[in-house]
Amino acid sequence: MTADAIKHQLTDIFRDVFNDPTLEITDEMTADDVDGWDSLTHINMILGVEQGFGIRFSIKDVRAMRNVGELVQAIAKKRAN
Amino acid sequence: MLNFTSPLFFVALALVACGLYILPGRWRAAYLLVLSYGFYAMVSVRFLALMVAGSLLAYGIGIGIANARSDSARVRLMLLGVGGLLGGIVVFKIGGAWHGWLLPLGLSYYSFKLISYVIEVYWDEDSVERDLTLFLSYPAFFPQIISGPIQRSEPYFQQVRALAARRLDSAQIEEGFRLIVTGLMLKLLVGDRLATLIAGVDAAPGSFGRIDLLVTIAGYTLQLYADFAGYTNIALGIGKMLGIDGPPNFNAPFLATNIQEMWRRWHMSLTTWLTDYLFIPLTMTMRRYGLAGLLLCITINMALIGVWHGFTLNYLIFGLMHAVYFSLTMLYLRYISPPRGKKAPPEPRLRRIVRTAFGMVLTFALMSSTQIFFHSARFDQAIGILRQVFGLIPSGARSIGDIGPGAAETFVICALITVWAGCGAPGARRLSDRIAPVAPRWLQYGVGLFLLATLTPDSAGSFVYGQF
Repeated sequence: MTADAIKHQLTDIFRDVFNDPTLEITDEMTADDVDGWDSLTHINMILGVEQGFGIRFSIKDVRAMRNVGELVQAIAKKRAN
Repeated sequence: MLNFTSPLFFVALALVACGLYILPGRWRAAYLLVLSYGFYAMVSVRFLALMVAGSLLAYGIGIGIANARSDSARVRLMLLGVGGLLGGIVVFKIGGAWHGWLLPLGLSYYSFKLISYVIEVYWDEDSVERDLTLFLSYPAFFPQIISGPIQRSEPYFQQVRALAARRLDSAQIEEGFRLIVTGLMLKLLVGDRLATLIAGVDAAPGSFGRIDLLVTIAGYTLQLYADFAGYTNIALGIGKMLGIDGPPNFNAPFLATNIQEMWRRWHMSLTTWLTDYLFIPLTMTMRRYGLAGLLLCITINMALIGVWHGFTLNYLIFGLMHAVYFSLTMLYLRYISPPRGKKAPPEPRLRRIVRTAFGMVLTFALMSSTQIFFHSARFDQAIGILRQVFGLIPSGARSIGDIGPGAAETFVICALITVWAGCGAPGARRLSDRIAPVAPRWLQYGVGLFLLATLTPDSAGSFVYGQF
């Protein structure tokens, strides 16, 4: 799966979780950039990603991600394994 | 005893802060440790021994985890450390609630610091701290010992290390002083006045009218905020004087437009702690149960926030009420509320203002409803207040104004100041800058100190969160 394909699918998940049908994601985006992104929506987003991409993160993975770009990389790595 | 509201404490603080910067850098961590243990020993030498034992346990466990060769050994050590520290809290909280034991000063705060350290080392062995002096000063750091804020180990260790090479920084001293003066004013001039009036109603709530009782219930939330935010400012200010920035506890909580947002702005050092070490791990473990699992995790998390304050039925109900409010808010935002975002269709200005104001008032009212259980010492007291509020038992005719001369005016003024402070004190900085050419900063602080010296009520002093 290419990074662009991941981002495309990830955008849909973000729009659903953050209840914003026009949300556009970027690599540098962090929780500070999105209205309503707190620990609860974060965990909802992680669970949505796990379901959508058929992967599982560890707590360590979740803590290590600092922005959307790192999330995309983590998804690509998990999918490759 | 020296406490954070006594003038003698601040005289001592000025002297010890000077001492810190006179000392050679390599002695500063040891100096902080001696100060912190000295402060604690003035309260209780016996409980100091307990804190040292807990600290040494976490220190040893941390090194053990870092040196362990197998994952199973790491897990066992982590569970031993977390279990031992949690066990200490549970034993004393149960003893305190059921047998009237005296709680060791700051037990829940320093234990939570140590637990977070053990888990961090378990997650990442590089977080281990081998310098014993530096390590021991972390849980004991005296500005944070009475009621937090609960600082994480990494930022603390980094700042104390940097302190070795630091010179006295006048901006930091001024910022610390400003936090202390504003914190003292919020606590002593406003919070303690509200506390006295609320105690006047508590003495015989049945003799007061229903509206006055409702106003008093709103007062619970305001008084708690003035007390705890005031304390936190003082604690952060003392830390700053010693070159250590602590984490914030409040971010204008009364601006929150729903309960979920309120918890992002209220007692933040505790809620982020629980999010990182309880809520996220628990939700990840329960993920296969979907929405039901998430709601259960929210309930467990909120119930624990409740009983963290003490093992009583009232604190549990406080937590469970928040669990219900929080869950309903989450479901509403996710499934019912209209889509949001920058490109959503623009909302008429008036409608936005009304919606925001309604959200703020509703959030405050929900928060205050939980405070009935938080504030009342016993279950039947809380139920009595609720019955009176809902008109199930007759109310009296007294009003807050009958408590004493000027009571109603005092209540209104203190409530307005607290609401303003709890909305982030809008305009305070601008006003201070605007009048600075006429009344320079030192004069503004002088006025603050003058008000403290003349208007502090005699009964002022102890902190609500000191008992937790």
